[in-house]
Amino acid sequence: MRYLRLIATYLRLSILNEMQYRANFVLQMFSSLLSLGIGLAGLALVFLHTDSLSGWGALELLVVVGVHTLIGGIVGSIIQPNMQQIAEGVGDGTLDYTLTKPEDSQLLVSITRFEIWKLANVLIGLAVIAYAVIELGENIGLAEAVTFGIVLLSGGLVFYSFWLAIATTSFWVVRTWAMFEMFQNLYQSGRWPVGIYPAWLRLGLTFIVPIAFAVTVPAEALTNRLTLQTMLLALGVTAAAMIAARKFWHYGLKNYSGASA
Amino acid sequence: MRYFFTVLIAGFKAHIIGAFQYRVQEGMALIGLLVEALIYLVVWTTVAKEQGGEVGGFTVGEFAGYFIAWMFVRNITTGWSPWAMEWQIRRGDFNALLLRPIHPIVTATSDMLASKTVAMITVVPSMIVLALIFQPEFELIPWSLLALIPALVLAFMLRYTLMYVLALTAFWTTRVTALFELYFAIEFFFSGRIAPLSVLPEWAQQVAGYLPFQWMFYFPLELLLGRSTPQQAASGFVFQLAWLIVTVVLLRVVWRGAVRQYGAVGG
Repeated sequence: MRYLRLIATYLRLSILNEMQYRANFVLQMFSSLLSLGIGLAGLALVFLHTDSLSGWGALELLVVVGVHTLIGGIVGSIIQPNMQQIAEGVGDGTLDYTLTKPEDSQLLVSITRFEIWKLANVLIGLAVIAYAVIELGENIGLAEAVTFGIVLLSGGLVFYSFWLAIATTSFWVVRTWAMFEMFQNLYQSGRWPVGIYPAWLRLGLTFIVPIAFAVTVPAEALTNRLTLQTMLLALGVTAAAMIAARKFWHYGLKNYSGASA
Repeated sequence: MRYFFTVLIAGFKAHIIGAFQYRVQEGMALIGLLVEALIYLVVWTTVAKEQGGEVGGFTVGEFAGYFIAWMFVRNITTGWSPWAMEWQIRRGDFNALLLRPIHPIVTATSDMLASKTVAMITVVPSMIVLALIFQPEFELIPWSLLALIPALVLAFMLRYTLMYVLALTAFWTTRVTALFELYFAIEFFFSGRIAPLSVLPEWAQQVAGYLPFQWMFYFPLELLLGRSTPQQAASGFVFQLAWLIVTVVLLRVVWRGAVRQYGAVGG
């Protein structure tokens, strides 16, 4: 309960801060819609020549694009700003202010900065998913919706753990932004279901950079292809990733002497 | 003239050393290039396989060849991003370059030659690895490869001039990012970056004919793969030169306007 209040306070501060730059919303919306347009035109081009791509139909791939946009929005608005803040905080010493506060350090560093305009991608992603699911006309009942919610949340958490682990390395490595940038590049591959990639790449996109769990698995839940095994694997990997990331964060903290010490 | 080359070579050396210092940055650029090529290679070879082996005049192996050669041509034809240019103008770094007793274009050229040389050290081995995995099909035709050299130079110059024009719009508006994004979206489809132009629908191929983008990318790429006839190559050079003249004239007009605009703000 107290944690929720804490999150709400920080979120309010971020919103107040970003409200100063309202024109950015229009620009962000333009940029998000443009990037969606590129994705859709790419899909249209592929489906001009074929009816299915590795067993995925056009509308089903539209679900993948929607989930990709949605998760991209969550990363851009919540995960990335905070994790970049950690790296910057180690660089200029401001992390020390956060660490001296009497609350859980991992929670604090994860909620200090939100870029709310990037949530435009979440809205657009949801709209695309809704459209594709309705057009598909498949039986998406409460059970499927709940499953989708669970695997989507689990995918978000797996990404969060991945980013936290990268941000933690900034206690030792200076140029973490390079790794953030690499993530952005690799994330582009999630616009297509990981099943189309050759096995070695699929493994990398599943266990090294968990794009499969964050994008493909939630999309599978909405297109009637999610098996129980995959779902359990996704949840297991998420739990393991969260524990590992937290342990790593504490290990990093123990080795961190602070900027002023 | 000798002075010019001394400066060019000195700048080249300095930049090579600098590039090795920022290995990480260069590595990231390579990964970006590699991932994009790989995504579309996989997508299009999958489509070709499901359509019985051929789509838009490309077989599975030819698609693989297209996107492997894609990396090479893209590395050569991309130059300075308008973002960097805009940044230099806005921060005033450009003033320092103007004060040197040598034209900024010389510094820019030596920087670019150096970073392309460094990039090739990583791009070429990546291409070999991809070739071993995906079994590309292509034909190395001597005359075509010879024609590739001027085609790449012209493609680079064309794109570079266009980027410069785009960057200069920073003098009029501070919201250039949206404009740049729109430009890159259009270029993405009509230059052959997402797929060979022969895969695009009929109307889009016609639109591409009226735009300069294929001459900055698709044309040299086809030459490298030995897919052009001598007639196509000849007309390609005419188009490249014609578009280059158009963009250079455009650059001069925009530059004059930009300087006037700048004076108005500063005065």
